[in-house]
Amino acid sequence: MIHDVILSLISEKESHVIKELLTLEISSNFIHPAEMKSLNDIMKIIGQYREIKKFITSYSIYSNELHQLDLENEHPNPQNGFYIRKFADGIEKVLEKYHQSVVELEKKFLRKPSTSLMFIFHEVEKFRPLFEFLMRLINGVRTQKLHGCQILEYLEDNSMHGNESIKEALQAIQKSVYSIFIQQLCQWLNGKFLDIYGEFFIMHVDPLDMPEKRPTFSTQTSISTFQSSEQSINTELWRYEVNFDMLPHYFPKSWAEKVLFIGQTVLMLSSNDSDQNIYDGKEYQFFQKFHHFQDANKLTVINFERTIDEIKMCVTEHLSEIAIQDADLVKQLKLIKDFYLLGRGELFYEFIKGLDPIYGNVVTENAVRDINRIFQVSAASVNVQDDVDLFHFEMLKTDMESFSYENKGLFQFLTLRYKIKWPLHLMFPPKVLDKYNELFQFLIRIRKIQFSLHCLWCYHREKKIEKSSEVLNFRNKLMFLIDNLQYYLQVDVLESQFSIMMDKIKETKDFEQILRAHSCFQANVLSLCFLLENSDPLSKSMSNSMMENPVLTILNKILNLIEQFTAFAYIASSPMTSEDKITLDNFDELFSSFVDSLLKMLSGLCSAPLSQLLLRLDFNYWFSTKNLKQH
Amino acid sequence: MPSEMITLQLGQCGNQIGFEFWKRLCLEHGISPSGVLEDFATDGPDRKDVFFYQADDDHYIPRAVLLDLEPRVIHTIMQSQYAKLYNPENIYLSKDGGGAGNNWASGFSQGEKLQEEIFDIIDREADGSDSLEGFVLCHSIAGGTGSGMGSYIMERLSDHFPKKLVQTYSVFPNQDEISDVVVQPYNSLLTLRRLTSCADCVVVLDNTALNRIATDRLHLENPSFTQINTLVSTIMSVSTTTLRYPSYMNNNLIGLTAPLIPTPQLHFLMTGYTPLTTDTDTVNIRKTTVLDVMRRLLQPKNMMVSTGPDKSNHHCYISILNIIQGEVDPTQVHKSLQRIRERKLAQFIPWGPASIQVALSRSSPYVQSSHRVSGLMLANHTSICSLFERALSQYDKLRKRGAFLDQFRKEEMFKDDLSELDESRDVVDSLVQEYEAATRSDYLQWQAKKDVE
Repeated sequence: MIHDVILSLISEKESHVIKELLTLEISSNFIHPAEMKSLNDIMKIIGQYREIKKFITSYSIYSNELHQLDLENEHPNPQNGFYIRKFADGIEKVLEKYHQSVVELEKKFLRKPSTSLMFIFHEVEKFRPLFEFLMRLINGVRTQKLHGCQILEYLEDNSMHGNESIKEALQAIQKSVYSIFIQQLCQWLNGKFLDIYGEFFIMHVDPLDMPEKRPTFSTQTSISTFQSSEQSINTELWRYEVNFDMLPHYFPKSWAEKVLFIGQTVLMLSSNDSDQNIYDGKEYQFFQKFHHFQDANKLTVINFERTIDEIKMCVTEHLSEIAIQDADLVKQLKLIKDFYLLGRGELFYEFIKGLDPIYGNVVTENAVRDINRIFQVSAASVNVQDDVDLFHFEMLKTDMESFSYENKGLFQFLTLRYKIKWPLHLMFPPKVLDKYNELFQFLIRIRKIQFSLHCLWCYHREKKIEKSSEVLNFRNKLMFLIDNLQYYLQVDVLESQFSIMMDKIKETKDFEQILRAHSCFQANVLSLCFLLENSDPLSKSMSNSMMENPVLTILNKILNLIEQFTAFAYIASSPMTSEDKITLDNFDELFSSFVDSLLKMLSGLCSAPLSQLLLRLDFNYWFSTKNLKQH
Repeated sequence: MPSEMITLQLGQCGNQIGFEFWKRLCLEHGISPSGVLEDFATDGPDRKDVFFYQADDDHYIPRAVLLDLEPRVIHTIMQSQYAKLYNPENIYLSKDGGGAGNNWASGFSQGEKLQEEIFDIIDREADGSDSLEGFVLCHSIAGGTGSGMGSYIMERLSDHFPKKLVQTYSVFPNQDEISDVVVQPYNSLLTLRRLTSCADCVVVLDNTALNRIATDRLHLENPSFTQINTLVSTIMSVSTTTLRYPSYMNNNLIGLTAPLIPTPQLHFLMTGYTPLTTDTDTVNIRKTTVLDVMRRLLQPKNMMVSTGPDKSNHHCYISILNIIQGEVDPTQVHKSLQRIRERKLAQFIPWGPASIQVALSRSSPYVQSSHRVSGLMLANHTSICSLFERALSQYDKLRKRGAFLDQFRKEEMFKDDLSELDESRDVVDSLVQEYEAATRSDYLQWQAKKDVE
């Protein structure tokens, strides 16, 4: 009978003998009621063991034929995954101690058959707290439907336990789960993304089935489906994101972002055929470290952080080396300035001049081809052929119904595309290039208006209109404003910020610092160009729509006014009729009121960029004194 | 090759400063005296095509037309190492070689006689460019060829090329020394009339101020022509630098001049340059900031125009453009502007918006400068009218006595009467009045009244 009990200790099925023993009346004949109690208690422990074992068998890798089926199913069990299997494996390992002691027990029993039930109970009872604890863990995982890295977090939360053996057991389970975590981490750091069950804290967002956020199988396959790798790598890179739901809370977010960054870097580097080794051959050493962590009894986050920092340092330094030497980072940044920020003034002057005949036309797909041709011709005429190949225009896919042509002219429908030189993809993600396009549209519009005013100046010069000095004077005022706006943009904003960025880049070797300097540059330029929406938190919460910067609103009004005036100036007769005179006076009044509101805005809120612009505009206090007189 | 400029060099002075200008451009663009691009300059970010074009054999040839009525200066050029630089077809020497005898009327009438041949050259040169932007005329206003023939050509240019801008670098005579050209006041006045009515932009190079700067600031006892011309070529090259080394703006002549010249008549520009040193000067150890440069540019002693003391202190700037080259921290520009405004270092017109525009320009990598930062100021300042007043008073003195008019009467133009002289005086006088009016706050009303008349 005792032997039956011992056997059932590790059996996964209920033993009939014991069952009968417990239920049959006769058993009381040879089992003392006190023993009956022990037997019942033993049975309870065995029951827990069976529960645990059931859990293990349903998830363990060693018995997973069932899951192979699951995999092929349309909707895989959400509770499935490598992490939970490893969790089960860990528990299995913990149970080994129990198995051993049962084996010991049997040996003892065989040697000395008189061993009492009490003795067995005493031996088995030691495992009760462990079993209870394991049951709790399993229930927790089950009821909370924990998945992937969340299991890690759950384990860590329960890791503080006073009982040494339980603590040890937990560490063993953690170790088991960490093994898959580290495996995934190393894979990612090697630029491989294998996450069938969506368990890792980095996810691949496929734009095609965005709402479901279903992780795809591996990037390797998805990359190969793209025709041109040049284009794909740039979009592909930015499909990886940190899934903060999956990130155990004891890992800092910054750490996860670092991991993401390293992986992206490696991916990007591997997209190029060259056999550049980003880790300088140190990858073995680095990954070895992780595996050492795994062997250590207690994993600490600090170790992870340190190693990732180390890797990152190695990667970024190597990357900046490639970026600066191979890709000629400085030159690429200058190109960005020359093209997106209109640094090649002569090129864009020719471009705007070339566009003039088709400027008013409706923008169609064909027009884009013409525009690109004009761009190429302009570039050829000023000898910038080499660089210009990296840029081309594309039609902005906007809703043609909301065609507000009056507003910003041709350029709002164009995006300037830049062929990013490898390996600078990390520097110019699509979002950043979108921002550059925003700047480009703003700057080229001002440039175009300046060009129109210059044309008008030439027209006036040629016609020798001296009898309508009022038109000339108003034109001069507008020209003054546009010129000074341009000088503000060029010197105070673009050149200043660019030189600040270049200084920073020269100082550092770390690619992340370079990235930071660059994003800082862009953010500053945007804000100094008044292109950032209102940062006032009150107004933001009140309306969901983006608040346009009030300075930009007025500037846009002024720009619209200038466009209207230039059109008017060509048809106005000289000397002016009284009607023309009224129109001109209206323009003048509107213009004064706009400038006035700019000046008022300065006194209202202390905004440094506006004051810089107004210093130039109101350098001889003409606008401010004129307005004083009027009031 | 858009926005090309054709340079016309007239007379002894015009050819001399033009020669210096081209020498300087060759140096800056890495072009050898024979027009071959130096090996180190093959991949430059500059635009050579504005002032040069490439011949079939890739030689760079200046878009320059050299005109003179007497052979001396042009012969010197043709004997120099730069002889092969120019297109020989663009060099025109009158056949008799007798010159204009420092007589405006003679230069003018010879220009009329030779116009076909001259305009053949100019037309050919203009046809050779894709979209010509304008002409640059180098001449002096006091002599015979530069002033007389220059005047004639200016008149024809505005008929011939009404859409093209005409910018001149006009050398005004030195008032501190007694000129051997007795009819200088007549010549100057007659040329000034054409500069007023036919040119779009006149950069005044005042020999008085240039000599003064050479003696006072550069400590040269007897400044030679070459030394003065170096100053001139510096001004000419820097004032065109934004065309040749383009950046964000000021890439064409319109963009450069339109903001400087709000009213068509007031198109006489002064220049200032800093630092002023000679080649032999020891290098300054002082650190130059943008503010230093901008402040020095506003000091009268650095101005290349001698305006004389402004007793009533009413003259003011209509517009200013500072072209700053060298290692400039762009963030400093705003601070400098602020400081200048606070200290009221520059007085501006009261009738419209005006400010100091600062263009940061790239400079040639091939010319080593001992200065970290250098700056050129192009300014439209009302006090320039004192130059014209001076010309008027000298003219009046001479005219009252009726002196030296015989030389003029010999020419067709002045045979019957001297009304040309009187008309010119009126034009220059009204120019002075306009500049004076521009110092007052009621200038716009004054202008409107003039419109009605």
